[in-house]
Amino acid sequence: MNEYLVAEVMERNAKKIRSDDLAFQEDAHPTELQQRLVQCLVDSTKTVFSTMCGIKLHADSDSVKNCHGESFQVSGIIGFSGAVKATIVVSVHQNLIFSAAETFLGIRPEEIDSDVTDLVGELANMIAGNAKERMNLPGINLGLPTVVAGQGHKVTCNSILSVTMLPFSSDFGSLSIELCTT
Amino acid sequence: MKVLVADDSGVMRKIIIRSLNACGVSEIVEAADGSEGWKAFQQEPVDIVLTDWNMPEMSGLDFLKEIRGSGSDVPVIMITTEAEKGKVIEAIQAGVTDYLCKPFEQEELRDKLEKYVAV
Repeated sequence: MNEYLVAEVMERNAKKIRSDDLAFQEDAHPTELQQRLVQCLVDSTKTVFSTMCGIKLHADSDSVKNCHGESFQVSGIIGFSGAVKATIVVSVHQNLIFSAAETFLGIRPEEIDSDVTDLVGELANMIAGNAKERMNLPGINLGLPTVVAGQGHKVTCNSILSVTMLPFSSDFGSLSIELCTT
Repeated sequence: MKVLVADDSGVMRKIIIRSLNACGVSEIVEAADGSEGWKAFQQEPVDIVLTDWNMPEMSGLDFLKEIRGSGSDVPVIMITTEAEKGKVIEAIQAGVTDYLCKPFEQEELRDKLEKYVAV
């Protein structure tokens, strides 16, 4: 067993997530779990964009509420199963995702092409993966991301689900995460 | 120096390839999942494998197990969102050489690559 590699990976991750962010009770009440998931998603979204793209996102906690969001051009969808049952929809303003793509690829896209949709899927995957790590709860599984694109598209959840919207802003445009839970 | 990059995200492959190019590597084989990666690996020898974990058809872990099962000791670096200690240990037990968690800064990726890329 390469214990040095385990220690190195854990140390790198610890630099990205504060240790007090990881404290969580396995027998937490569902409401606590939901609140915790919201906070983990806010933190993971900011971390993914700052780490991967150097873009600072601002979350307005006063805007965390049940509502339907503004119109976006592209959305990534990914599900949690097991200990957490939820779906998140990551919707990104065109200018923000173009700026992120420019950082990654060195070329600014001119339209929402396969690179852009791929990037949104990958960002959704990273946001969910980082949130899962922050939850620090065994038995959380992630699905593979899917992406929908098109001006004015809508992603709707079954009406029995609770939808919590987490809006973010940046110098390059806005982003929203819709958290759908039972 | 030939590098095999397996990731179901085309844009992630481009990000990795950009970093490989910056390290002086231009001979790169791409695969969209573990199954494609394993086929490519069997067809032509490579010096390093970079693979995602969660991919359709065949996961990066199963791809790694196929490589080690064939007797190859080629360096395999897992680049993944799977960050739990148990997952890292599982990959090490399957024979992974190095491990990088997403999200990562581009410098982190280059640091990892430079350890293995001797042009």
